[in-house]
Amino acid sequence: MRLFRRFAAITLAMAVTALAVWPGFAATTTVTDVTGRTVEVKTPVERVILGEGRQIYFVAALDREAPFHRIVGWRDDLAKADPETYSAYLEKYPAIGKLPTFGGMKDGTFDVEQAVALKPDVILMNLDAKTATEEAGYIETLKKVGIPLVYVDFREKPMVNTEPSMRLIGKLFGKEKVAEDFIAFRRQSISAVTDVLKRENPQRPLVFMERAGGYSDDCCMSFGDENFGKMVEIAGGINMAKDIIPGTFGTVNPEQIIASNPDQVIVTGGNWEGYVPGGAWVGVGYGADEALARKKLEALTKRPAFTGIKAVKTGEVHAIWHQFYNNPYQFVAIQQIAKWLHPDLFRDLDPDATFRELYARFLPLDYKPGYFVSLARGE
Amino acid sequence: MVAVALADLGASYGKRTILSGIATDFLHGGTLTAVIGPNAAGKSTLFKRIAGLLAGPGTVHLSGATNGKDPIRYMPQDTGGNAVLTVYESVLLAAKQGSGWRVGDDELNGIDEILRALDIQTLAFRELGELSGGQRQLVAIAQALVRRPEVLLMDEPTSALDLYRQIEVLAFMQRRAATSGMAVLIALHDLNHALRYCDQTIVIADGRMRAAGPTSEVITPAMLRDVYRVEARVERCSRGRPVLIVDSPAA
Amino acid sequence: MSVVAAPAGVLAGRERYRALALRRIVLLSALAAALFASVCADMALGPANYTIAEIFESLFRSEHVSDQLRVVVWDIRMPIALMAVTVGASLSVAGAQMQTILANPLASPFTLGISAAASFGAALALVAGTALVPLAVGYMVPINAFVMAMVAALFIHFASTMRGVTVETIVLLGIALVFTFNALLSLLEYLASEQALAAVVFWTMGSLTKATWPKVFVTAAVLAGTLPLFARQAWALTALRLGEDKAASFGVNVRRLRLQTMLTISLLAAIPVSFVGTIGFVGLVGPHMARMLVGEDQRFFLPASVLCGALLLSVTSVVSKTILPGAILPIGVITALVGVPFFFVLIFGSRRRAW
Repeated sequence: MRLFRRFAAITLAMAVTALAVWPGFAATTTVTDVTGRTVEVKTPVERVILGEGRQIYFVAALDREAPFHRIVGWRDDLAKADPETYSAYLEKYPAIGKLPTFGGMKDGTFDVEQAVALKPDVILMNLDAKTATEEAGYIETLKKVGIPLVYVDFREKPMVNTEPSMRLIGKLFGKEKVAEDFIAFRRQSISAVTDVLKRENPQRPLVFMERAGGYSDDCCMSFGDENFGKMVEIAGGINMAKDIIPGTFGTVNPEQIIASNPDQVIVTGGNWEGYVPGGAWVGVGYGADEALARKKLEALTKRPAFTGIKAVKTGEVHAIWHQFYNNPYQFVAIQQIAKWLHPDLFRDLDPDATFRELYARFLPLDYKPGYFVSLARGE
Repeated sequence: MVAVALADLGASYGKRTILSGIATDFLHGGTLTAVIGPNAAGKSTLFKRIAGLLAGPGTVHLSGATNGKDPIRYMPQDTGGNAVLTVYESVLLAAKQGSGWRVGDDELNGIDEILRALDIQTLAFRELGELSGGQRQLVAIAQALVRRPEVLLMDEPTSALDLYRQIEVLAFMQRRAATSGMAVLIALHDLNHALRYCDQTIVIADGRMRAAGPTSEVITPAMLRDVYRVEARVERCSRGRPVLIVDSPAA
Repeated sequence: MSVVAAPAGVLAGRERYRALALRRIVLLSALAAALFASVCADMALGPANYTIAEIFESLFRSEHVSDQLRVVVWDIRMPIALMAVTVGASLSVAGAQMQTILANPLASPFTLGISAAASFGAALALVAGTALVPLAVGYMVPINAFVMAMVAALFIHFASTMRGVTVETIVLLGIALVFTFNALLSLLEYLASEQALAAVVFWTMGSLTKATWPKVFVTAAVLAGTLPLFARQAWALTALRLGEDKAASFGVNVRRLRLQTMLTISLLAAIPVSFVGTIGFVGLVGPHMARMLVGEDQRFFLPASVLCGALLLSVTSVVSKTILPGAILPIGVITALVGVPFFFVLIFGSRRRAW
């Protein structure tokens, strides 16, 4: 099977190369990105620069057979922000260690010269880098050398922009079918939550969503009514900081947590050894050590801000993989949050199985659990 | 009474020697001694060296001092300064250096006395920044006198004063020296002031002592030609006082 | 000279001086009272909406109140309220003495690059995970900040002792340091991940939410250790403001005083910056407020700087948690907004010169 897969990949790669050198075959397609810009791109794209390394989350879902064959350069964030995923890919595709990398495209300040030298067919940028990219005038510069740039978004308005982004990339990659399959799977997975909630209309617990708990001494970063804040609402909870934080991200007065007395607390985490060695963060993620993560999560509940709150008393404190916040796999997070908030309603829902299916159907890696831990009894 | 003798005094900045071979033994309490010489001759340097603010070869012999702590006080040329302080505070400050926070009535009385003596008591609660150059010079004199020095080195104390204040200050210093037994060295540019108020004069040029002794013997046409590069005469005025008259630049 | 004694009020000077001193003591007391009120408000206000009675109960009979109340009062509100006082006081005194020894109204830990250096040190920890002192990785951020701040302060100091370096040159060097460290900081931000970037940005904005009891104790101890040093040199430091020559002529060892003061300042400035991040405005404006209120006699100026800085940051702390109830706004942002109106009133409403 594996042999066959590799054979298929090589054949595909050869075929694609052949197509690429035959100019008549590649068509110019007009696409609309998430900002509403219409951009002309020669499709299918064969040479892609990723404005963020973590865009591999969706690239891999579309190009399962050879996720890196189009990638000619990427930002260097994956190795640091999600070392487990990076090493898994590195092990499977050792060549990615030599991929040209860029720094800091968050600032929109990648090296245009380097980008041009890599002769990409398209550059994929995240929406949050838009302001900086525009200020630097990169789009005009790149246009002059005929390199289009499109924005995708899984972070600013993930519930609105995930489908168009996946569809857009599917179109660029010539993988419309895979993209539609993915979108259907996502919808179905979210419906499994929202349908039940609509039917049963249960009481909505108050949830404090802590962003990157333990990353620094500061308590407590959280989410306004977007991103994880929105996911909590979709999963049938009330996001505590919804009316406190005006934007997507912000900091809540630690005392507010005691005052609000949330029913549940969900802390986002990841392996941030590269940033804060030995920090108090909860290192959930691909194949993470769940026992250790649970221990660190337990330690976080000892902070003053969590004194005597209902969630800690009842053990309804959970940790979830931070990278869901900018990621097409968000629907798995929604399922897991829903299951935490309404265990009785979603007794039969198995987010782990959903994630496993996602890996099995769309991703080149084998699934490894470790994305979620909870202090709740019975887990 | 206090007496100061300088023995082969010198000073240098780095490798550059700016003062050398200064020696006198006639600086006695109760009199004014003029230190004269062209610009950049080394007058301020000499004062700083005597006050111990600069290091260098030679020695300063001080005898007969009764105020053990710091009997020699240097009064620098006024540098402006923009501290938010009243005149009164700035004089108090000079008096209180090295002592505690508490201010006694006798200390304040001393300040009142000095300000009255210099006729600047009306300025007492003005801010330093509001004063004219001349007023600041008077305040500087008050700051110097308030610690009752036994040797006072005044660096051009009259340069910003009007005529009336110039002679008033010099006459005041003359009286003060006589009554308190203080030895006063004054750097001066106006040689007529030296002739009139100072018993002794030291002439400095290019960092060396060119002449020293009773003022009338030191200020001579030959010295003026040599050191100041002017043709000049010293003549008696109608009241019998020696007066310096400058005729022309030296040939 | 004029032998005629002033007719009215022979001791006018002495009495007017006593009155002036008394007025200043009253002003200092008023500042202290305002500070006390502000700290009380900081303790009383918060999203948990406890009553004053409950607060008192937990303050004086803490064993009788609920865990939550005790934690809110003792572990959340009080460290922040006290940290505002110690940090505000430290930064303000550091700025005051920096302005004094460098004879420059623009001198402050912020303008001379000490804060920027500390930010860079902290960012080095947050972004690259580099510990400048490898022993205490747990306190990497504050220690890095402190080490870099010290490096900047010593650089400024040794530059200031070099021959031919004037006070103006020092300020230029300081500005150069600010730009250098800001550039290095931007470089790090450029290399940072989003998560690290958010932490760096929040850190550079300054925030009292990082306050903990140990930090309160350390800042208080630094303050308690350094203030007596300044107090002992009060007359000499005041004399320095009359010019270097004048101070030297008063018997002040100017070089030694400058070195001592600079070292003390760098400690005073670096510790708070390393704990709570960059809070720029207090170190510059606190001393100016103090100067406009009581002048530059250090016996009044020093306590006034302490009180003005502490008051400024304490009021800021109250405001930063009341603007958006439940959220915390970075205090560095609020300080200027709170302080500038005060400052304007003093500048335009006072007959005293500002510098």
